[in-house]
Amino acid sequence: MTLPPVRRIMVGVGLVLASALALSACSTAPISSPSGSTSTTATVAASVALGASGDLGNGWKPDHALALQYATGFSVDFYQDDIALIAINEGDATKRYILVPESVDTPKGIASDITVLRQPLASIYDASTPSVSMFAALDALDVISYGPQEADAWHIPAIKAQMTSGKMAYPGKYSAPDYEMLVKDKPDLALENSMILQAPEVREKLESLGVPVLMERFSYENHPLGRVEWIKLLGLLSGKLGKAEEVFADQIAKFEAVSDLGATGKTVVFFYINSNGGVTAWKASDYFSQMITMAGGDYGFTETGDDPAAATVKLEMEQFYALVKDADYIIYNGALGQPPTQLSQFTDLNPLLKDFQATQTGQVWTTTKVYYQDSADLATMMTDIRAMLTWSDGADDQLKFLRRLS
Amino acid sequence: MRGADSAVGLATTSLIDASLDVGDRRTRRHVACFILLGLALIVLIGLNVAVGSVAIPLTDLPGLLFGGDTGSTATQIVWSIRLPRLVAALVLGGGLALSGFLLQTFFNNPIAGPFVLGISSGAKLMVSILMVLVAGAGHSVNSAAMIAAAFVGALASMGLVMVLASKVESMAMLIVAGVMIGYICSAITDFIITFASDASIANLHNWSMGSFSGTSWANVQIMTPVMLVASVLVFFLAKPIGAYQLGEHYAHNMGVNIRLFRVALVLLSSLLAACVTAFAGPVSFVGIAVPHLIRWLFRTAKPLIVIPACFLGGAVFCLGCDLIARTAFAPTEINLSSVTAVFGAPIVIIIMLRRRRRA
Repeated sequence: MTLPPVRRIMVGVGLVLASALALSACSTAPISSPSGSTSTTATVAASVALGASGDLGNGWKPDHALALQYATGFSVDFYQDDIALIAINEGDATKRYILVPESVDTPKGIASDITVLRQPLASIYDASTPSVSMFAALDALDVISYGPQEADAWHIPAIKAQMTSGKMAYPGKYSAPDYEMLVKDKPDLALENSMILQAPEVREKLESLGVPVLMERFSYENHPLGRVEWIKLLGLLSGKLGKAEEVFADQIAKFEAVSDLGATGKTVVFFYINSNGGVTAWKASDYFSQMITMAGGDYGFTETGDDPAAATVKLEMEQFYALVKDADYIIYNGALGQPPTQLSQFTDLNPLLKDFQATQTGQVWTTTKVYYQDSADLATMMTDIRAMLTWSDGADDQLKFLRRLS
Repeated sequence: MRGADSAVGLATTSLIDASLDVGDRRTRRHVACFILLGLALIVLIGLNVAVGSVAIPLTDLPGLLFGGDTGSTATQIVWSIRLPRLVAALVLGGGLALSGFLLQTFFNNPIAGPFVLGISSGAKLMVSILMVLVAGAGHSVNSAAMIAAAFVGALASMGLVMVLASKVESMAMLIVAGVMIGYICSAITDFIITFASDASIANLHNWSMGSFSGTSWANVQIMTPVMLVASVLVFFLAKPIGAYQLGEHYAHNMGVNIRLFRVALVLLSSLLAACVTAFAGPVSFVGIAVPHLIRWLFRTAKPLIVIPACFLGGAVFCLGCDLIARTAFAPTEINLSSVTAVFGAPIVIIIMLRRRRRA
């Protein structure tokens, strides 16, 4: 049977539409549990792919592996002479790097997929904001020659000082860096975040210019401490693994101290209102939402949205109103755009916000700008959340990561 | 009688002389304009090789380009960063202007551009699917996949327009069909974006503003033959295009197979635009502004002149705009389409106003 020409066109257009809808539907598999037990596609791939990372290709067997408690996105195996094999889960594939100490020759006969990094990595182009904060926590900022933002954009004093002194330069946006600047004083390594997945030509160009690229995957870690544990990898790269283990142990201790304080039974919501008045809420599976729960709060949003990999979900206003109206605490994401500094500015965002219980009881808080930059000190973030949940008149409400609106 | 004959003869001779004079003047103008464009091209090639965020002494450039030094940083900057980008701007800019000229001629519409038939929307749709649904979900994609997705999207839009071109008689309807296909693709893209993360939206926006950044020699090896072959084929169509400019009936009477000609024109212009979109993303205003600028500069619409001139003009325009995009606020690079629009839009307005005043 042949269709008339116009109908054939209509069928063609329909097929294109249907394919797009089907493709988008494929990405909307629901998450059964939005809590800490959430397992995203990326994490499943990590554990599968990283299983075979220890084979160096030349018959060598690893002496031991770096002990990891929470992080699932990378692994490190150690061989003779302190040679380390780093495996990074990149979703469908595992990218491997061999880190060779300065005084040791690169082993012969290693597998061709392994990128060789020779210590010391004295110059790193770090295009990932949270990882720079980790280098700062390690007192290893001197290895970062190029950072991801200009000096004015930083809210961490040590990093800002590093940039204003000229020791760290800004080479342009990650999606179109100034390659000439990068080639002039060629870094030993480029550290990118997962946004580079959508600009693959940048990675290819850097590699073609002789700059090895390593992609960090903090944002794919399910547990907040999984994010922080990446500091061990950065410690290894900067020659400060011991310090990294100390910092991480300190973070765990602080986390446990807050977790042990128990539940408060208070509901907390975390969202942002964009310039169009749309509401973006952070899912219960996001690391910050999980820290609210760990700090004793009861996270108010259970929506999983259509994309399991996304940390946020867009809420329709009626649904938002129903979910937030009776919440005990509101945390507004002040890291994005121009955040409100007073309660009246917050209610100006939408008149409905005046009806909310948290607004009427003065329990509206905003995150500070440092919230999205400092990934090395999540324990303090959790301590701040606990301080918010137990706040009473007269107590400090101008914390490192949270500010109360009045 | 004899006196009258000689007067007519004199008048005829002076008319012929005058027309030869006008012809000579036109030829001289065309030659001068080609020389001007050629010089501009040479100057801009020189500037694009010499200027960048890393200062390389001019005296070192000949050695870097022809001296066989392969190890130095300066050589790598020139050969691996500046030159492939320069060639991309030259070839893709030329092809984009040519594509605009073809569509302006075909539709007899001064604001028809390479993307009027939904080419960029189709490309953006496929790139958004790859970027949001595949890369956004944490899967690895390479630049070849991005280029292929953009090319497939552009060709799919083009295919739909081709089907319509063979069915629809009216040019206006074909433009409407192209615009509608663009709207459908944009609507699906917006639907996908609704569920995308902020990072995916930012990356898609960056892509849709066009850039020659990151161009490699491997990219150049693919784009150059495609663009050059398509451009040469356009040049071979110069005569039928010239006949078509005088009206469809005239072209038909001159033996032009209108249906085949229409298909060839849409195919070539779309192929040129699709190739640009695949390698650099949608670059705005080059396809609209440059053909106007060339017709104004050369004072002619003759395809034999305008086709090579448009290619040269597009190359010059894109080389200039890309130089500004990468150096004006270095190390931050401005979106290419922002620069082309800033320079392209006023050109179109000025030329339109001048033409209207003259009319």
